[in-house]
Amino acid sequence: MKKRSACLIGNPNVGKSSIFNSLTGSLQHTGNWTGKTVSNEKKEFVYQDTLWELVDLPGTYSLMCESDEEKIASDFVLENDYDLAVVICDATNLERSMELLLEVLDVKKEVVVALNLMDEARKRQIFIDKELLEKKLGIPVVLTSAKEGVGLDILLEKMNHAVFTNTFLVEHTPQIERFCKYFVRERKGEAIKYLVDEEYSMQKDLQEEKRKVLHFYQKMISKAMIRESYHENALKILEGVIERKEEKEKKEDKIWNFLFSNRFTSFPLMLLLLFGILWLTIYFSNIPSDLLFSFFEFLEKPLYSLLSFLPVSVLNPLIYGGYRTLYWVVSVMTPPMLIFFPLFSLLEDYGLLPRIAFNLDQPFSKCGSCGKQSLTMCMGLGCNAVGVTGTRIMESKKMRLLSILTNVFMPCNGRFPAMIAIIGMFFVQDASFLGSIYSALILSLIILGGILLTFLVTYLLNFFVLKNEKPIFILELPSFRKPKILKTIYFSIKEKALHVLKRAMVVSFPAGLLIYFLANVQIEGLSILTYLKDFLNPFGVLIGLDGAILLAFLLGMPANEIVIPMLLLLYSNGGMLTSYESLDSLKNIFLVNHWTILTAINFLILSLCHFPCATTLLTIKKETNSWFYTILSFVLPTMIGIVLCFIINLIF
Amino acid sequence: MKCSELKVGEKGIIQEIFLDEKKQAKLFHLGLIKGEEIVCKFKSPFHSPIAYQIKGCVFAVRACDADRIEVSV
Repeated sequence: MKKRSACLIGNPNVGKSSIFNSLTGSLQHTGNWTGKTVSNEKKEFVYQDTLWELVDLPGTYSLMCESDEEKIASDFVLENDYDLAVVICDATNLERSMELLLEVLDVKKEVVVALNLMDEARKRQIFIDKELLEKKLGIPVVLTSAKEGVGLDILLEKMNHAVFTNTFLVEHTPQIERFCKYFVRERKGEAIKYLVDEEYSMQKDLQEEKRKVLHFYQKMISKAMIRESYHENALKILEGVIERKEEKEKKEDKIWNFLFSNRFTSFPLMLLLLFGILWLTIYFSNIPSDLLFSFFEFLEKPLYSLLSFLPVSVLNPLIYGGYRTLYWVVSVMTPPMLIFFPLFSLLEDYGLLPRIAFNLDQPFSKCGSCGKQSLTMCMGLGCNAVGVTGTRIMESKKMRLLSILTNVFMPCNGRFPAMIAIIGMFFVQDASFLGSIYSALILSLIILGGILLTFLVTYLLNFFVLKNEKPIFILELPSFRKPKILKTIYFSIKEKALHVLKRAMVVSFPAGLLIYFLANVQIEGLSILTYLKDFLNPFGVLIGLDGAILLAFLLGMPANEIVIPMLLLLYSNGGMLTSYESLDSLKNIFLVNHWTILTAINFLILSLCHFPCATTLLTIKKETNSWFYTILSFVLPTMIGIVLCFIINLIF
Repeated sequence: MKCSELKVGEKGIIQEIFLDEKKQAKLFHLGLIKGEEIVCKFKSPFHSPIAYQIKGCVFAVRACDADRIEVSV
């Protein structure tokens, strides 16, 4: 079998990830907003006699771009060895895709073009003369619609069999041509990269003379000139290729645009969205949660007797430690995740998130950041680690740091189901329809509190972090696309929900075992756990909580999901004393341990404001490459949480 | 006149762009090129940012940046 490699490159939001998924059969989630793929994804697949290694690059408009994620793409195209580049163009806006295509052609002759979003182009009455385009470019052009799965077989066919003998040669202005000829004979694109990217040229070994020539040309040729040169070429190629009927705005777009930009409806609409998504999550996870809980509880005794051949010293930790923690996590976390993630993905695919960023830009700009921070916050609501990685869409280093440091104020999916449980026990106490609305309202308020804190902390940090950076905010607003509902649900569950759940489950079992041991290994008549609890207790009481709660938060560091089951184990000294029976009856365990409404409020506050989980911290370290900021992201929310709890405890 | 002065629904032709290189590059790729027609689509409740359309592409820029784009009606 032949082994070949290819990369997928294209503008943001043209469906690269969709094509990548369809070709490789993998399950990377795609969304309807710019900047979804933030690092290279590599997969292998076989077509006919060839084993392809395919790399999905982050979206970029040009190889000259400078943001981190765009650099990943341009570095790959220029530096790596691959047999073929597949350039994905947007059929609804070919003019815009042309520049990148021409830039790639300046580097590589072996290029296949996929004109994606053909279905959408047809709907909008845009007609493209494929044959003419193919003739002018001298490379294969394939019409595709990744969403419908159209044209992908032809794309594969061309990838395997196309020959590249008369690929279009980009003609630059004489000045640029002269420079390229002198500098890098074969690959004009590389020469141009030297010209426009100082960082790139500094890294390279160059002869003294060449560097002098480079500096000379750098003064003469601006980036704008190069862009226009590509633009001229693009216009020449596209002449006669595109035919456009006067476009009518989609009715749907018109309505949403009006609602989202209107001063009376925009913010209520956004609040309603937040509330709605939370309410649906709470309402529909109520019953499955209870059922799962009863089911696992019911299994406990048979399981115990089934394993009764084991010595008690092994069996008890397994069941009362590991199993109980595990089933708490599974029954309380699974239903909300299975509802929240698909709902969120549907909104994302539909294209609502950029509108939120649009509306929130002004308040964020007052804090030294920009509207895109709200996108990273939305991701944080799913998983803070994902939110932190997602900050790569921010255009300046400063804004990126601000969003990383504040992302934890969005309660992730590992935290808000636990919040829902506490809200259900202490504030609402009824599982009816009305109860779910109250719960959702309270949770919305907590999240709004998180948003408020985000603004506040961003504003304050703004004075300390990288003071001299210029703000920049340019946001694409894609038109609304109807998502493939079943496919979206399937992908979001398989890729996101189950992924996060698995992480929690892997942690919960050993954590349960550990607690059990700590609860039962005694030193001078008291368990280690008691020592730890007693040690933390004075401080806990000071902020309206107790030692066990603080210990549970600390133990929950590997995964926030296990905070409450840890707490239950701590209270019941390793699970020996109480059986769980049902979710509602758990409240008694809290009450016996002197919980009041105030304790519950403080618990919720600390859930919102405390250190990020271990995965998120590692991600922060990786993304910022700085211990200082990693530690800061640990200390900052924790301090705020402690101070808030302290104040509340003081007042009441 | 300044691009930011276009009313919602109004069209203009881009005459001159006085933005720094980084922003100019970004906007160039969204279609902001001298001579193109630009339409003001909608404004945020705070009046900034503003959404414009050039060819098929809708994007948002802050009002202070739109101030630095000259258009003729």
